[in-house]
Amino acid sequence: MKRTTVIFSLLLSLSFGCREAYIPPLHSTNNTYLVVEGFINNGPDSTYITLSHTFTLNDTGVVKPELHAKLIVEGKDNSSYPLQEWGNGQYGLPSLILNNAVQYRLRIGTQDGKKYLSDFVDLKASPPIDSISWKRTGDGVQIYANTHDPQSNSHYYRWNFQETWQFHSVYDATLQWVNDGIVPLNPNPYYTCWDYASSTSVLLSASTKLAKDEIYEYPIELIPSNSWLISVRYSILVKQYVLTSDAYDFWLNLQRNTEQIGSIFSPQPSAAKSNIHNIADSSEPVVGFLSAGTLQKQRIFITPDQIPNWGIGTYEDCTTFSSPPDSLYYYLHAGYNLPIGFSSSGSPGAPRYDISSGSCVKCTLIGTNIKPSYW
Amino acid sequence: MRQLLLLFIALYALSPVSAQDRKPILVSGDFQGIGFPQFAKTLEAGSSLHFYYNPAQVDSLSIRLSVKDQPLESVLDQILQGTNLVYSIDRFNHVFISKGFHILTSIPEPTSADSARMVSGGGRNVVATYAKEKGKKGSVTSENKLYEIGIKTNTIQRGAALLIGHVKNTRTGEPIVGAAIYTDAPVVSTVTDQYGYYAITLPRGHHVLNIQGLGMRDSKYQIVLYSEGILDIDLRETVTTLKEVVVSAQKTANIRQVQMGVEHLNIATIKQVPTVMGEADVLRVILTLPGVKSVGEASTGFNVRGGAADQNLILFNDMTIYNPSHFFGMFSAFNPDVVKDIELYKSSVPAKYGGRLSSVLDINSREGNKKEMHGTAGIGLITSRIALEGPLVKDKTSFILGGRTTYANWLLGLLPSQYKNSKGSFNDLDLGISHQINSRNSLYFSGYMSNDKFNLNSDTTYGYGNKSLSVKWKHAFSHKLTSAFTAGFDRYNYNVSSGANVVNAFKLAFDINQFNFKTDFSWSVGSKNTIDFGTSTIRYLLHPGTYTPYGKQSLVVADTLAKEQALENALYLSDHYNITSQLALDAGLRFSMYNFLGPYTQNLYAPGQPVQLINQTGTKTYTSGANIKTYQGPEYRVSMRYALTNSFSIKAGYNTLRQYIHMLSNTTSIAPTDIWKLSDANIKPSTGDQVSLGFYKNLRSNTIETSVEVYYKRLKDYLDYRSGATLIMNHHIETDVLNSKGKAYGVELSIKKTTGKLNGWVSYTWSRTFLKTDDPTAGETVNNGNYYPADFDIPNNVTVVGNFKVNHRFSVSMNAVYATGRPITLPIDRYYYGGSQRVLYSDRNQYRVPNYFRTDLSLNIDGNHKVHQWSHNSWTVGVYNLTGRHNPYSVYFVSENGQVNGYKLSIFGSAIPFVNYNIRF
Repeated sequence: MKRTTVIFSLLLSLSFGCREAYIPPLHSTNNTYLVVEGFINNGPDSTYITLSHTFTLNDTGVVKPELHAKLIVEGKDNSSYPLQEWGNGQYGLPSLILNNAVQYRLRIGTQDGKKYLSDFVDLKASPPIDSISWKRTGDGVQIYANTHDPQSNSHYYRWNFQETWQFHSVYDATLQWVNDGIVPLNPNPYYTCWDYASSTSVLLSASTKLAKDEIYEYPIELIPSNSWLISVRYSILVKQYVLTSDAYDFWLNLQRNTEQIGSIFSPQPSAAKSNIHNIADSSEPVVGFLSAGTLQKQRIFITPDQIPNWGIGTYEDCTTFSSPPDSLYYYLHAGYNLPIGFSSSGSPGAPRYDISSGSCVKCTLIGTNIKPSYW
Repeated sequence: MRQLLLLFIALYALSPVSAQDRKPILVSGDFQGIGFPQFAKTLEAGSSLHFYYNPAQVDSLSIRLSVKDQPLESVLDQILQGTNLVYSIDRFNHVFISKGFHILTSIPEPTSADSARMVSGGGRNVVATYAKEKGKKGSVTSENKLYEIGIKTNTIQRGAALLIGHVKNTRTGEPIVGAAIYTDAPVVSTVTDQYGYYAITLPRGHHVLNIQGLGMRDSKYQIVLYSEGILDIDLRETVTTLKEVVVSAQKTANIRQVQMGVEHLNIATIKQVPTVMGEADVLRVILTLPGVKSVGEASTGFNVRGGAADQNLILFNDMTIYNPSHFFGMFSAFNPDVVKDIELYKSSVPAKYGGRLSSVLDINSREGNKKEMHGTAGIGLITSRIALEGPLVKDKTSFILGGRTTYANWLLGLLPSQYKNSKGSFNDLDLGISHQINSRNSLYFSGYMSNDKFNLNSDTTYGYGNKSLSVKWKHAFSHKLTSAFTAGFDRYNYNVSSGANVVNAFKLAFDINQFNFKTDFSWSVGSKNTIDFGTSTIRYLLHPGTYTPYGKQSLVVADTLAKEQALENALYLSDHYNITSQLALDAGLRFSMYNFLGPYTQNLYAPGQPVQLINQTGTKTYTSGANIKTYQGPEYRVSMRYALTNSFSIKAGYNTLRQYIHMLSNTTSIAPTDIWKLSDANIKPSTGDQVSLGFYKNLRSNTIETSVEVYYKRLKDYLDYRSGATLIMNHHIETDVLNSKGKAYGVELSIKKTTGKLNGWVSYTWSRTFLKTDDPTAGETVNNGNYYPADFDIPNNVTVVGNFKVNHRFSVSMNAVYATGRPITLPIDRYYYGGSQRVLYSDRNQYRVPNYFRTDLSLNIDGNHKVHQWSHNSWTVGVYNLTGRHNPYSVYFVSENGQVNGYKLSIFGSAIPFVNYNIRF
């Protein structure tokens, strides 16, 4: 049996399945469909609708906004609220007070004269978020949403979020390079910064199979172990929406077709149904689903000392080197490198300077040093 | 019984006295240099001995010896030592001296000391029967002996008579299935049934009966048929001896058979085909046959001539197996040590089978050895298996027991990284007991069980299993009318449980149960006509879903979908008629009736409106046993054969099928969580028909079989799904399905070499399969209601399966597959939505994954072939996917971190070596 053992261990070192990048065959379609994304928000938060167009796979990934369109929110009670154009394909109103008992729809007139109309939709008001909780798991920090509706009217929930994190540059500089010369830097405004990110995946859950209209620990976001996102202080603002069952189906389909695909048992892609139609040509595909209602939001903060066994990571691998004064121009003039301070390898008579690459020294090359209002 | 025994004893006394029984003749004398003639004369003088010899051959002999009361044999041995002369002594004490060969002193014993058994049949017909004496070692089947069958008459009467009997393996006592029995003039042939019985009607008179069984030595019997009678036949296995001269036999089954599109493979062939991980796999081998395809490597579901995976009836010893795969499709659920052979009906489905649209796969397990205990065991990289067989009552009752288990978790570690933390295990168990009550009655019991458990990189655990039992009683009413009665129970169930989120923790269970009862009769009306008829009853009980909380904190509301019950009855009648020796017809009619039964609450929808919730008009509740909906219809099974010559025939067939049970799945392959649905008032049964034409030509004394088959097939009311359909725990599943039509057509070419050092087959299939979903009342179409290629539309497929025997201990097997890539739905556009780039899909199945190519190689190394050792062992070493080509299983686009990434997923993306150790004892 010795032979078997040898082959066994040989096999173990092999990996036979594989996943490779795939570039699809090029095909020229001139189709460009209208994409409507947005939420008619009944309340003090702003309502905004984004209009864009689909673009082919081989297009360079630039959003093609639909500009100068006319958008009107219409109520079944014949009320109407024209939206303002905010640029870059965004249209909206800072606040909109609607009647919860009335259904609303969106009318869109594009620049090229096409007219679109959405179905009437119910206003769905979200119950408050009970908590945004988190746990240290083996993979990192898992953030959850918890909510419930005592009236049992909600059932279908969607979330999105914006995260903000405060971080430090890897080196806290005491010197800076100005006009080809070394000058002191005190205080250092490039040591503490903030960066932002928004959710990129569809976050969706339903309580239809439960005895109570309750969502317990729906996983919103996972921050991998020792990520630099939680190096100084991290914050996440979670927005919660309640959907109609049709809207839930649309988002679920979007999630299945674009995020949960590719496993051995994944279902085949299928078309997502939109509730927005071209008035003149109902067969024209339109991407998107209009929802309306009142959202709820909650913000939490996490600092590294709250997390057990959290090692603080950095966003980049940084190294320093030292330079004598006469070489500084050579290293720093191009702007890629920045000075940190006096090097310990130097002496008062012959100083040397520690230098590192810019993003390790100046945090504004990664984020912004303007403190957000909620910080 | 006692009479019979007496008869045996009496006959034994009459049988020729063998040398050992003869009283030894003692010789005394002192011979000093005398010649042989003088020596002979001396001995003849003092005894009854008489010598026969050629003086010219013995003239060099000079006899010098002195003996006293020594046996004649030893004296002759001494005298003839060192010469090439030999002697024979017969029972009349005649001594024959010959050169180089023995003179035969008696007619060779009738096959293993046969005895004529007289059986009185109904007082009128006295039937003479040849039966073999049991267990006599070294018995030989004699081909020169003339067997007189029936009541001997001076002149042979006119007309035909029926000859029946049983064919079994001399060594193991196992019946030989599918052995061909035929006469050359006139050309009449039959084959033994599943239990080794045959019946053949021949003109009275002299015939040479040829018998050919797979793996058996071909034999011939000289018979004179006076009247009806029984001839039991023992066949010996083909023992490959050194320098054997292979006489190619007239293997003309493919030419003479009336049915078309039938594929038969025995386990020896199956075991030759290399498979992933080296485990002989019944279902993988099927995929190498023309007209059989699959959507990818991790799917056991197979598609026959454009049919979906749920349209294959998979029978294992009459038990219906709903999920024939293990380990999410990588292995088939049948233990290769227990399987004897498989039969796949692609086109002419015999009238006795029904209930599925595309094909019937009939897997037979071996019967246990009736003489002595044997076993096999195998150790592979993934599984270990063992099979034991032996007599429970010698020569009457035998059993075979097989089991497999796995240690496959490590394999999952090799899968693409998204499956890294997965776990999986499986096992299966087979039991077969056969009992021969008497020559007219036998009883068979089969049991099968399989279990699978796995989780795919998550805290969700999946489990599924098959459980089946069947009991069959085979009874011969007379020589002409035989019957089989089969009762059985089959169950498939799966369950899913997830406990990670304590509030949402759930358990989900599904099961389908069926009780079967079948009767099958076969009636030989005359030499040209065989009628098969029978009934089939299936009672279904299906629990479509039970969703329950898992753990105390779970808030899940228990939800149960109402159980579904139905009764499927069928009657069939088919006639096999040899119109002339060239033209034969198989005509069958099956009439099936399906009743969907209460208790059940059926959703009602406005007629003529799309079946959607907005059109629901209410519900109607039926009481227990109430007939909710009846579907019925005839199924025609007709095929015809015209043999232009002995090695060339043309066949044509038409058949229709009905299917009352549907698998609901929106994945491309069979997934363990696919559920089955019975037809009800809102979901119609699927129907299909197929017309086919084939040409069969054998070359080189029938060692090469070639065939061309063409078919056109239509499917109706095949289920497709609405966008975003929910298939699990759906209380109104009818609102999520759409009725589709399908059409499939193709040409299958096959060249098969069945014997010789190099054997194997090459098949090429060109075929197309299209589906169309355009029901105007459905409110939704697929691809604007146009025909579109099905997932398994693979136009070109070439398969080469070869085995080369280098010598008796070493053989090399190779197979190669080339196939067009399967259709997929590709994105055509991108857009931003929900914070990420996403893709918009084209019409369904408008693109294809890259073409598929794979070569596998295996070496089979047998240990020594010494007969007398307690075990025989062998090694199989090989490489799956020798070229390491990354054959894509799927191509998909996924939004990750805001970007769209396209991926090509290969299940087996490199060359995979394997080794297997087998032991037989």
